[in-house]
Formats: sequence, structure tokens, C-alpha cells
Amino acid sequence: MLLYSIILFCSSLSAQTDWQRWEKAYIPYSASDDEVRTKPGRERKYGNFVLDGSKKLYNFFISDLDGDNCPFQPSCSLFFIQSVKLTDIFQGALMFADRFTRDMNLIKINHYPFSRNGRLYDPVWNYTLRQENIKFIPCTETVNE
Amino acid sequence: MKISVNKFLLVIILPVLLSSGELCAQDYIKEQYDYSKELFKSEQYFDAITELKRLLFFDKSGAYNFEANYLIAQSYKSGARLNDAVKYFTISQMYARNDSLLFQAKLEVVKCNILRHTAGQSLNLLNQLERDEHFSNMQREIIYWKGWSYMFMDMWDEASLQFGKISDNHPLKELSDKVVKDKYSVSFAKVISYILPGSGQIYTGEYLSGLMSLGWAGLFGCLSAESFVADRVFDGFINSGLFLRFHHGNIQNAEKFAVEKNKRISDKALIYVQYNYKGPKP
Amino acid sequence: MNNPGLTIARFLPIFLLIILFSSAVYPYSCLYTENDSAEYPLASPQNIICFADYLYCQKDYLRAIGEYERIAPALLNDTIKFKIALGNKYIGKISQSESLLFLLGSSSIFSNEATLELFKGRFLRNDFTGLRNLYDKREITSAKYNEKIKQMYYLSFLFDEVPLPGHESFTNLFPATERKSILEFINRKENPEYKSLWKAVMLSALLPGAGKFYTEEYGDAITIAIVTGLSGYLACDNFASGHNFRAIAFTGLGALFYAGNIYGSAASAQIYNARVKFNLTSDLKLYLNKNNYFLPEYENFCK
Repeated sequence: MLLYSIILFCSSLSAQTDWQRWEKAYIPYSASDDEVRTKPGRERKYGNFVLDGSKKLYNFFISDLDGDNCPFQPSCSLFFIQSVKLTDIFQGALMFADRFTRDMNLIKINHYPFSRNGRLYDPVWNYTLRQENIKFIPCTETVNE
Repeated sequence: MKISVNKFLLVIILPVLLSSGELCAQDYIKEQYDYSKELFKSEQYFDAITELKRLLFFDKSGAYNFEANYLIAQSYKSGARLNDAVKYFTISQMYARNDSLLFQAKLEVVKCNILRHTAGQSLNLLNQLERDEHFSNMQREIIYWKGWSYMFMDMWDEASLQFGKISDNHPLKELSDKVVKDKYSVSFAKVISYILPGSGQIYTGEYLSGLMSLGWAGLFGCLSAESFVADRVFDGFINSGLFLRFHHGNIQNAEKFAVEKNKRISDKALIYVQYNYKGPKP
Repeated sequence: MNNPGLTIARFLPIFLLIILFSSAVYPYSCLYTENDSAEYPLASPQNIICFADYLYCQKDYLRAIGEYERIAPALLNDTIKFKIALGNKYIGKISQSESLLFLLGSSSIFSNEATLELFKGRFLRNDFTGLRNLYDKREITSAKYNEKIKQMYYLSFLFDEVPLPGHESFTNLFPATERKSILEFINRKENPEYKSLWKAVMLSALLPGAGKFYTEEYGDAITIAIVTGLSGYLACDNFASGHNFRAIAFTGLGALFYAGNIYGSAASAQIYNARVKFNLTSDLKLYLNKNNYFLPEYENFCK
């Protein structure tokens, strides 16, 4: 009876993985192998090239060398890139200036939810001044990003 | 005489006839098992599981309990659903008819744990198997999979030790030794960066980054000294802060490079094993 | 001839043949086979249903639905159809689930349950507009669950921006003990403690940091005041000392912080308002869960 109940318990647990049909799948030994296999082709846009290029230069010359200081997810430089991509250069600059001052605020606890890597989750779409874009997440939650 | 013939019928034929119903049922069950196996062989794993579940549901004799659960687990494993595979391999252990089947099912749990990168769990299971006297003649296999577990736990020196117990020139021992040799020392990279900014990055082969770190730390060190000498205290503090930030960042950067490079070396070895190693794999 | 033992012995072979025959037709009692024409007992409709029921209770819904769909449509009774609809709902196939529920809702022994399930599904998926459309069209109604559906209809207004219907008709739907709480939620929806975006902008333009102070981001407000003030001071100081390059750099920095402070105050007011709305929704959901609203009473197929 105990055995039967264990089997029932186990099979009911596993059932959820079968709520969609699946096929044979490859199991990579190393995560990086999987990344290489599944990496999508990059979009080649002039704006993106300039932005990504400047971010790379900033990372290479300053960000990588002055340590891991940004408490936010995404980091301030990535926030700037994302805000410019989502809006325009002027609004992006204003969003970055606001983020930069919020970064300097020493009392950030109980304001932002935590992301999976332990940083404070502060997504760019909450600051585009479009009410419909705002996804409010309470600071008690941990975001899986 | 008539009565004795009927007695014969009663004693000999009755049990045969009564069991024939079960035999017929077993035919259907066997047919069902063969059909499920065919689906499995043709890589239709989702459907194979459905048919195996049907088999388990109708086979009240439990004759195929081990095989069906084992095949369900293998199907899940082939679909990279390792958690479910572990569950069904564990269930199949309950129906193992002998030590050999039990060992086979337990080993599959070990392999799934290796594949889902919970090799610590597989190592615990292997240690239990090692201590179990029922499997005393399987020691070589246990050691082999311990080596694999250590490889996936990024403990290549331990892996080399295990494969060395099997053979001094085991190909996986040679590979593990090479990985140990190629890896960078994270603490050494940090210590030398503390003494001379940039040296940790240079040690890990990142020369440009190392020189940049040295440049920033040197520049702000000089500027802060110059500011203090010229009694510009505010500038001095700002520049000192920047010097400390770049000095601290240089240590973090050296550590990051060493860890990243070590990970790349381990990953490269695992990819090599997956595609080129000819021996048993998880 | 009249010896009873002899008579039994004479009929014994026939008796055994009957047993043999019957056991061949019904090979195994657990197979639930009563169809003697079935070539393969596991494929008989009774066995497929039996197995599908087992899968359904294991929450293996996709497989269970697959099995039910193997049965000839004529053999599918209302219970099976309702289980297919629920199974589809659980695995996220909403349109399949809803079309079946519509069918069952119009005429079946589960018409009440199917109708309730349609409304409940939309309510729990936060499809409040869809719920209200369904209710307003009155294509489908349930006598048994009319009260519950009406409650869901009225509660849906609290979750989005649509104006509320009359208070009295709203609160009267709920028991007297709950009316006070419901009225509180209605008040929170109608008089939300929102912060004015323009007030935040004006305040921050007049005094850097004041906008964030208004939106209750006190730490940010103090930081902005210090950073903007310091940049301004350094710019003036450097202009006075003749360090023009530094002065221009600090002026630019100060201007950026000042503009960022105005922008940030507006964004902060919007986020504050989003928080107010979120709190109302989550408090309401918590209240409904606590009071066991919309618990399914009919999902007892596996008990």
C-alpha cells in the first residue's frame, strides 16, 4: 500500500512535465556547449552597432576594471543601452541620469525586488513614462532574471 | 471408470484451464510491452510512455513492473527530462528481480544525476553502493562513475585519482591531469594583483586588460599624491577614491578572469569527452 | 443414472468448457472487457475510458484527453466531455476548453458547472473584459450558480479601470458580514491615493528632490538634493577660480542631474500609482482566497 502510494505520488508529480508533447532532446555535458548551439544570429543594425560598440568600449576601459560596484540588475551601463533602444537618445539620457542618482542613494532596501543573482531588480520599462508599460513587482519578491 | 476419467480431468486439466485466462491476458500484456518497446526504439518516447503506463495499469500480475518503469525512465532520459527519469528509475529499483537489475537501475540514477549536474548526489549514491556488499564485484564500475561525478563537479584532481585506480594510462585520467595542469590558481591571481595592479590579469593571459588596470591605478595614484602635495585636499580625496576603486576592481577582475578561464578549460574538456570519448558515458 | 455424483461427473467436461470459453472471452477481470468482438482488449472503449480516468486522476491530462478522444463521439458522455474541458483548461488549452464548456453549458447534466467554470476561468485568468462580455450577452446562464457568477461580474469591476456599477446592488450581493470589507475595496477603487504626476514634476523643477519627496522616495530625494547642489556649487566655485573646463563639466553634470530629477519624479509618481493599484488587486485577491470564493465543488471525479 505504501509502495503504491509512493508510486501514485511520484507519477502525479511527473505528470505536469507531460502537459505538452515533447520529443527526443540533446543533453549537453557543459552549459557553454548548449549556449554555442542555441545562440541566435545577431541583428546587424547601425544604431545597435554604435550602442553595443560604445558599451563594449565602456566595459573594456572602465566598467570591467573598476570592479563589480553596481547593485542593480540590469547594470547602469546596460540600463542606458536598453533605455536608448526602448525610447530615444534624449529620453534614454534622462532615464540614465535618474538611475544614476538612484544608484547613489545608499538606502535602497525595501524599494526593489531582488533578482536571481542577488542584485536589485530595476527594469528599464518601468521608467518610460508609459503607464501601461509599468510592471510593478513588490520588493518582497525575487525575480527570476 | 467414467468417474476416474472425470477425476483425471478435474485434477489435471482444471488448473490448466483456469490459468488459461491469465495466460491469454499475459499474451495481451506481452503484446503491449512489445509495442511499447517498438515505440521506444523508434524514438517516439512520449507515446512509448503512454503505452508503458497502459501496460502498468492493466498488468495486475506485475510481471513487467521493472521493465516498464525502467523503459519509462529511459524515455524521459532521452527527452532530457532527467528529474522524471530519476523518479522512474527509483521506482523500477523496487521491482528489480535480482542484484544485477538493481545495480543497473541504481547506476542509471547516478548517470542522470551526473547529467543534470547534481553530481554530489551521484557521488553519495556511489559511496553507498561501494559500501554495499551485494555489489562488491562491481567496484571497478563504481570507481569509474565516481571519476565521472568528480569531472562534472569540476574536481579534476579527484577524477584523475579515481580513473588512476582503474588504469595508469586511462584516457580519462590523462584528460583530467591535463585539465589540472592547464587551470589557473585563483588565489595566486588575486594575491599578485593586490601587490601589483594588473599582474593577475596578465597571469591569466589578459595582457591588455592588465596594462589598463595598471594604467588607471598608476594614474589616480599619481594624481592623488600630486593633489595632496599641492594642498588640493578635495581633489586628493576624489583621486584617492578613484585609485582605491580601480585597485579593488583590478583584484576582482583578476579573480573573474581566472574563474572564467578555468570554467572554459573544464567546459572544453567536457565537450571533448562528450563527442570524442569512446568508452561508457552517462 | 440417478447417482448425483455420476451426473456431476457427466456434466463436468461441459462445465469446464464453459469456464474455458468464458475465460477466453473475458481473459482477465481487471481488463474490464465485456466486448467479445474486441480483438485487442486493451483497445476496447471501456478499457480506454478506464485508463483515461486513471491518467486524469494522475493529472496526466494531455494523455488522458488523448485517450478520451480515441473513443467514438457517441460513447462520450457528459462527464467525459466535462473532464476533457477541465483537462484542457489545466494544460493551458483555453480555447479548446472554452468551446467545450459552451457546448456543455447549453445542454448537459453539467450545464451549471460548465457555465460557472467558464466565468471562473476568465476571472482567474484576469480576463475581466471577457467575463463582463460573457455576462452582458447572457448567451449562457446558470440557475444554480447565478449568485456566484453575479458576484464575479461585480468584483471584476474592482480589478480594472472601468467605472463601478451602483454601490447598493454591488454590496447587496454579499452576505451582511462581508459588506463592510467589500465597501472598503469599493472606496479604495473609487478614491485611490494616487500621486499627481504634474505636481511631482513642478515640485522637482522648483526644488531638486522635492518631487521624489512628494512620491515618498525620501532616500532618493536627499541624494538628488545633495548631488545637484554639489554639482552647482563646484561649477560656481570653478568658474570663480577660473577653471573654465571643469566649471563647464560640472555645469553639464548638474544640468543632467537636474533634468534627470524632473524626469525621475514623473516616473516615480507613475510607479507609486502602479503600487497603489497593485496593492488593491493583491489585497482583494487575498481576501477572496481567504474567504474561499469560487472553490470548485464538483471536481470530485477522483475521490
